[in-house]
Amino acid sequence: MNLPVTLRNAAIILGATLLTSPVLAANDDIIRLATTTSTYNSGLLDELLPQFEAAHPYQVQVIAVGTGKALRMGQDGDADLLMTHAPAAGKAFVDAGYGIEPHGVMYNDFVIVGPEKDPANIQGLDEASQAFKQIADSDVLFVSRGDDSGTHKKELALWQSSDIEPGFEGYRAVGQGMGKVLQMASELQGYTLTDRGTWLAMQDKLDLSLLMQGDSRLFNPYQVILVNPERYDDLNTEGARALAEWLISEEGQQAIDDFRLGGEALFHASAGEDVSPQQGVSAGASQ
Amino acid sequence: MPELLDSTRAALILLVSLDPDLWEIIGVSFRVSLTAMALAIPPALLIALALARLAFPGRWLLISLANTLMAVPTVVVGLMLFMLLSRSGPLGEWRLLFTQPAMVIGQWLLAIPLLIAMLHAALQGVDQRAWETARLHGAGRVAALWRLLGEARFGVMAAIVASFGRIIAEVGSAVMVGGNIEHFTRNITTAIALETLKGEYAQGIALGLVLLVLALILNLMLGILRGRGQQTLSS
Amino acid sequence: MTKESMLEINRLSHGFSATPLWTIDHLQWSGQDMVHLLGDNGSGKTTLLRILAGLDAPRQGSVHWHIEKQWQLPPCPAQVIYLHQMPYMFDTSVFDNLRLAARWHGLGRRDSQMRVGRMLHWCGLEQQGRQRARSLSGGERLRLALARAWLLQPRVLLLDEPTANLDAQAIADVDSLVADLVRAGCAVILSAHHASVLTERCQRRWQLCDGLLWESTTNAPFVAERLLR
Repeated sequence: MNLPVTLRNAAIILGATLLTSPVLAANDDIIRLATTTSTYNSGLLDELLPQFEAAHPYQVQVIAVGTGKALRMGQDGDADLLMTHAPAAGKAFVDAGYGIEPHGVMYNDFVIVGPEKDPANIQGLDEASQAFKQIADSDVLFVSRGDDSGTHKKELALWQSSDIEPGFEGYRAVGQGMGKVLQMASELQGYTLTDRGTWLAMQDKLDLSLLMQGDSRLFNPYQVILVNPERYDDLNTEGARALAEWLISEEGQQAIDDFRLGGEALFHASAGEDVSPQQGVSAGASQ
Repeated sequence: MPELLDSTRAALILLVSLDPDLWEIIGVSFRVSLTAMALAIPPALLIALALARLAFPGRWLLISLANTLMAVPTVVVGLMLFMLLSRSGPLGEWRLLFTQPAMVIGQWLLAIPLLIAMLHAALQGVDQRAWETARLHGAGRVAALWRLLGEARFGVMAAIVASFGRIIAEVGSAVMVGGNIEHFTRNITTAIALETLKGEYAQGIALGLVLLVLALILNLMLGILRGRGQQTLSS
Repeated sequence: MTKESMLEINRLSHGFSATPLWTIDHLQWSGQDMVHLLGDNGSGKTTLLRILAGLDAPRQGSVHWHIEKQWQLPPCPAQVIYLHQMPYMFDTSVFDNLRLAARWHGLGRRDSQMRVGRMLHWCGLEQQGRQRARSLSGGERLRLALARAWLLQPRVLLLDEPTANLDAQAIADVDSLVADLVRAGCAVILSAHHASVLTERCQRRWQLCDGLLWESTTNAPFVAERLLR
């Protein structure tokens, strides 16, 4: 075989691949779900999606990113369905016409973890904002996601409710996922805000302790949003709607409540309950 | 497409307006990589000279080792260093993880094998007669070695330029042992890799442009050096 | 070892032990006569010169130079200088090639300037001082190499095929430089394939043949005198 022929064959194969790939991308069987890392890393989706796929003719591709990136992907038409936990940003997304049919699905909660010795003395406090204030006032590090994720937005809201400007001496914004942030907090012996799921999954490998939980301001509502089909015509809106409806159906809600990690319930089904931007932190701050 | 154009325009504005956050990130990159180079060049030169001039046991092994390590992915170096510097690792007491010195060490480790291999090749390429002529004309060992470096200067420069290019553009080790901490260890590559996850592309494009221009400058330098090297060879 | 000789070779051999390239049992040289080293290709002329210069170690035997009233083993830097068949030009200017040698010799700044200037004039490359040494022609290179060596005022120069690939004019130029050196008391051994004005100048011939070194004096009918073996 001489070289020109090889090259021509390669060109044909390449061309054929390029021509057929858009067809593959628009495959009606595939639902692209952009979701926060917390739902994916906790193993919840591994539990839910096979149940959904068994009863429906769809295959779900999970793209685990921060809420900011997930919303961006929805805006760019790179996903069919979003599952996020930043109600305010989600509402803005829908208001801007990027998304439709937002539905509350469930909530989980955040916890504050830190070094076992707890140099900022936050253990036993009732209010998350007070805990944050003491962390900022102590000579300790606080590792922030700093990645525009839902967790990061929650953290920023908590700083705001504590009247503290993030960026104090010990503030370390690292722009990375929850697992990495927990690892860094452990290495640096600093505090951080984490969703309970990632914490449960990782706590064995960390030199950190759970120091604060239970404040209603730490609750974290999740919602699903369909990417607006009017903006892009190659979206699998039908599949996305099927998945969203299954998640808020009785069956889906039961599956969420049944999910256990290390024997603990992580997510609480809350379909039908009102999800508003005021819920969680802001509601707590206004009390 | 308008998206890309908008982001690029925003990127250019960030660059031209001397956006402090952006230039701080660029500063971290240069500080870390230049420090790593400054610390890597002297030992690499000594080893390369020894490899080129001395016949000692294990010489061949050392050359193979340098050539092998050159191909090690940067994340692997990052991982090894991470395990060493971790609180539970043997060097955890140093408390270096997620600091600029840790990034310097990582890039030092990446630069050393490349420097040694390229410097060795450059010195090996110098005519044996250069050493003999210098020695017979009264040059001491050190003076003769110095002359060898002078004869190999284009290759030496190429080694330095290529190594600097490698470490300033590496992301694997910087993100693992640096941690991308804003104002501390966030450099060009970790910012591009992780900050774009926020969906904000302008900064990433701006930083990418900086690396692109740098790569262009380094390659032009290499091209000029190579051109001059060939000129002297052919004459 | 005799006082008046400058070079003494004893039981010197090189090459593989079963079939040595050549063997020289004993040789003395006063350094007074300029030597023309002959031999077929592959007879080992270059190897012998390199061993005399101390660039290669002999497999067996010894070489001693009597220099500055002392017996020394080669290499004798700045005193016994070997010029490669293609003399090596450092990758700098003509001027700096000379200045490097002056610096290695330990000359001070002013001495160095002066002597470099004199040498440039002597070898006739004053106009090319700023030029890159590697852009010189073959003849000019050899002249610069001679000047670079002579700057150190060595006692012995070993020239490996200096006239190969040079035209008649270049050989004549080199010859006049070598004549100066000899007049100034520098002992010279040169190897050469072809006869030239330069080889005419030699009073003594050493011929490598069949693994042995044969000596004769020139201008006499060629009667080979076999060296001791």
